[in-house]
Amino acid sequence: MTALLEVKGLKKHFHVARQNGFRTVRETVHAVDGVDIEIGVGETLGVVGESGCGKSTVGRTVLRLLEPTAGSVLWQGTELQSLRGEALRKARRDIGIVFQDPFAALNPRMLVGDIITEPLKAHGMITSQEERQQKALELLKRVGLRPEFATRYPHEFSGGQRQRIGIARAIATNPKLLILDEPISALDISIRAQILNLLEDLQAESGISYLFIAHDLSVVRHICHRVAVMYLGVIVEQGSSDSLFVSPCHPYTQALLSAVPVADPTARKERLLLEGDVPSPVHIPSGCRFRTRCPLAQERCAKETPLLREVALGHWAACHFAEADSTP
Amino acid sequence: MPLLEVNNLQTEFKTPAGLVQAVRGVSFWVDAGETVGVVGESGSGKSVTALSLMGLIPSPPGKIKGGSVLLEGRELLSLTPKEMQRVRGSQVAMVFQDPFTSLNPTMKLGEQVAEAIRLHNALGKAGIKERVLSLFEAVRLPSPEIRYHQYPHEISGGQRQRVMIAIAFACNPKLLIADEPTTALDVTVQAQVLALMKRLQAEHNTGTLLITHDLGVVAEVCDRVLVMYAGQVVESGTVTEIFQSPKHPYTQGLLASLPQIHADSRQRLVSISGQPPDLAHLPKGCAFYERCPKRILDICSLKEPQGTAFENGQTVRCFLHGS
Repeated sequence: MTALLEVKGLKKHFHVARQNGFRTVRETVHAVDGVDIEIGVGETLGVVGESGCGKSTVGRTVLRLLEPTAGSVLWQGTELQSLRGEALRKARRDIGIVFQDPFAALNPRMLVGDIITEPLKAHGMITSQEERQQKALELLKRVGLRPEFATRYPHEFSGGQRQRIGIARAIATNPKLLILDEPISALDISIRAQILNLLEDLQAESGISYLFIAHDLSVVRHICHRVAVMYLGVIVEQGSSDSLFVSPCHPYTQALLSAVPVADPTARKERLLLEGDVPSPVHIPSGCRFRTRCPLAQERCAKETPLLREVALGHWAACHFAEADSTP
Repeated sequence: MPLLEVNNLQTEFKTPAGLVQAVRGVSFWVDAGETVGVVGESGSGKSVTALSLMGLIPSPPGKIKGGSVLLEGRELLSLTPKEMQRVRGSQVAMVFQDPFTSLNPTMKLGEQVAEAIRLHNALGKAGIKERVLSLFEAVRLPSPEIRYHQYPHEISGGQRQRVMIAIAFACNPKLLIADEPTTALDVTVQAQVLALMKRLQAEHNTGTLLITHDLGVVAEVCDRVLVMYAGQVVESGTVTEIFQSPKHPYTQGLLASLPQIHADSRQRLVSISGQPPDLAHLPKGCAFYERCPKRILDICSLKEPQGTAFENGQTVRCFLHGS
């Protein structure tokens, strides 16, 4: 079976110039530094990590909103970077994106009906105004909004409703893959569950695949089939949601899971606290990137870069000392 | 006598859309050394409650309409702005959500902490610097001597929040009000900052009012909890009571809507339908009526529930449990 999306050795470096007194210092930010992921049909892959780990850049590079520095993105077996013009437009129809901030993602001067059918117009999929209006009503219904909302403006809606509008726009072209970049983190807690349920319903109805980018581990655990944990531009651990959350092998994943506050006062525990902050993606530590904060770090970690290796079936970790069932 | 006692606090704002009743009769207390969590969504009135306590409501458009705020028995609402300024920083300190906007970008970190000490203490120059450095050490800021001369943009978000905490604890406050102190931080840094706040609080026996929307954080660090909805405390109790036997349908809904990190099966989340009411045009009855799965038609839409206290101290504002 070929995967719907296959990303191999993806790198995205940004070149930045910084003023230091009268000198200009040129630096390279290694936002994504060699990432391999695969998404199958109807599957949800979660990409988690802390701010600056490169998870959003991965999403944007897949859509070619950013051009990758190196690596390849295969869409249904075809190199996405080789596509030009009409072929690229066609591929883009199949990949949609939902952004984090529902207040910034919608044009305030457009009617909701026009916003959600804009992709159909842009791709020339429906040319008649009447049919588009019909389609708008249908889309609104699919995301749980009332049809009369089509003739209103974005400012009339709450955050949760705006995110539904954003999702309606993203699914307008019947895409096969949606990139969800922190789709619920800007929403209030009572609204988050509504949006998560909507995403699950859409997937059950249409078999759409999701690339779910988030920092909230409980949400990822809930919605994703497989999870990739990123740290400083690379994937440090990848596996099925069950396997990764039940027996995390990489010390970073273990610390990340230990740091999540659990909504149960009887479950208070001693945490595995990490020291310090994430290093700058400009000056990446040699060897293992996590070694500067790792409780297990040894001399070897500074010299040899650990590669992802399979520690259990379908469960990969990039640590010299990672072993399956290393945790209770 | 509790450290802080708030009775029937009411705060409103005049806006073009009408009179917004942001806080509608909030009462609670905080004892020395304990942590009281305030949870609620945006617009529930939790931050306005905190700002009202500190005398930081911009007026106009805001106005504290009624109620009382007693700090160790002393009424804060009747103090002059100058007297209130003396209370802020020395007896009551505040930590805000965004450590970047709450620090002065043009001032050295050491100076910002020194300023807080100078305002409330008569210490010499050397004494102040020594105190700043010991505070930096207390909040585990690496290489304090270097940090003293750095500016906010030169350090990370987690370190900025440590500086904010150093400022808050500069004058050994009796009460700390922390408004979403870790929301802007990553989980691993959040865990560090929460551990730090807990340690300092235990050392100084500080009472803490922790405002957050994160129920996980509440469960981890709080002793008691107030659940706010549409400007009112709809439920309060010890952290165990709130999480194990929530009584208000809103609290029950919130807890059921959380994805569980330790859950084995992928269960469908129970969501609360709809959204919070407009505080400028509140419904006549219970503010949660429209979204409530357990509403009683004839009562809940007509009358406002007044609140019931249980024997164990848990309170709830719902007709399902008394009046």
